[in-house]
Amino acid sequence: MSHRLGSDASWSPTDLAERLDRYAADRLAPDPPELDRGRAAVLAAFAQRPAPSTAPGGRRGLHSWSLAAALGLLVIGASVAVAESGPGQPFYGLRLAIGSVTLPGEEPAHERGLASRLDDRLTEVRAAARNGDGPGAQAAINEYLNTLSELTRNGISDPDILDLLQRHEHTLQELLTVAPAQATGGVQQALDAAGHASGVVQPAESTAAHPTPPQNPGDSPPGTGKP
Amino acid sequence: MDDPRGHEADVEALVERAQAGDREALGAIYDRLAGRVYRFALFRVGSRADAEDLMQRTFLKMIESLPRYQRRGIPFEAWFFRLARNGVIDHLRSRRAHQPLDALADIDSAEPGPHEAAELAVEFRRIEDAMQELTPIQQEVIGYRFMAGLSPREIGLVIGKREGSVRALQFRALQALRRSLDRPSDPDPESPKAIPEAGLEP
Repeated sequence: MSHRLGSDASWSPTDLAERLDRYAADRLAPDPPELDRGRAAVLAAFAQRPAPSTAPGGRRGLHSWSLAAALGLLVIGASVAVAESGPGQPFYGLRLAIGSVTLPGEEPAHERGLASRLDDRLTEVRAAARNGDGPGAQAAINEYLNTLSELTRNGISDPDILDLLQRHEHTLQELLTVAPAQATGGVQQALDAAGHASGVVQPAESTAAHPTPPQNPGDSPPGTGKP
Repeated sequence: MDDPRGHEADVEALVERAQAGDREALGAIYDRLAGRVYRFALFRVGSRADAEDLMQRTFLKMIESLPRYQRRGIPFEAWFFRLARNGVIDHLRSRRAHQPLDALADIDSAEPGPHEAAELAVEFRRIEDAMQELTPIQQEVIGYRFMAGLSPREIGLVIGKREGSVRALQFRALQALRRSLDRPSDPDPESPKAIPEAGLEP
């Protein structure tokens, strides 16, 4: 390689393409340990999936995941030291991502699983805010927003989840006044997003006729399978 | 890529095996895509820690969605990079709301050592400066083309544009980069303006 480098080099179209390739290869390449960590986590998560089955009509289906998921989290947590990572700690995002692999693949269980995760994140935000843990609250509210975005991507059809979002709005409103400064921007954004999402689909008439009183996060929608 | 169709067929065969539960096939898919998705994520978000996180999340999302993947006209790699794109968009959206921009600034983990490395570092900074002058969609296309190694056809499938439009975007982006890079550079490469680590954010 005898490129003329530095600020005086000319940038012919071929040069530019070559240099962008080189930029990608040299400047943006992952370190081997990063790749190895990712490979271990991905293969571990893959190994926890139940064996695929063939559903009627030839489509591959999924078995119930709950037992495998619980076991999987334990095994993965032991192998990549992520299971205990709380908000703001290393591997927190990875722990949640591994958890997302264990969500049921089919609706409506998938949607309910996401709602349950959303509720968990809000509980974490509240706990971090209570402890004055700014980075933790910020990390948890980031994840809350990510989960909410995924939950609402295709619209929400379940009235229980809409109820949950309305309760979350109330909790987020309270959090605005007590959350550490680092997290208040995210809380406000979550409040806006939850309000928008809960208004996207009108709840069933029976639900709308009995407005749910504000409750604390941790109250999962019925049937989400949370302990 | 000498034979894109052959490459696609190889990948689709691996995907089919992975869908049937073959761990080795999944590992082979990881080996083909991990570096590419990492580079793309780092190019878009500017932080190595976030890029690693996004890379892993994309694969975990892929595992979750793999049973539902059916080719139906969209090649696997384009489908995979759609997942990556969603992750990056979510990440940028949540970060934009409540993080200072200097959170982007840790691309520079390479140790400048010998003379050539130092020259390269200067060149890389100039490239990053020039990238800032592109429009967001031009940056995205350059990212898919050069950092992720996707073809214009695949990029079109990822971002929902025709192949011809992608080619035109790429052409205009490269022209803009050349114009920017052909301008005389900052005489003092250590000045703050010449070290725009946050420059990759659209």
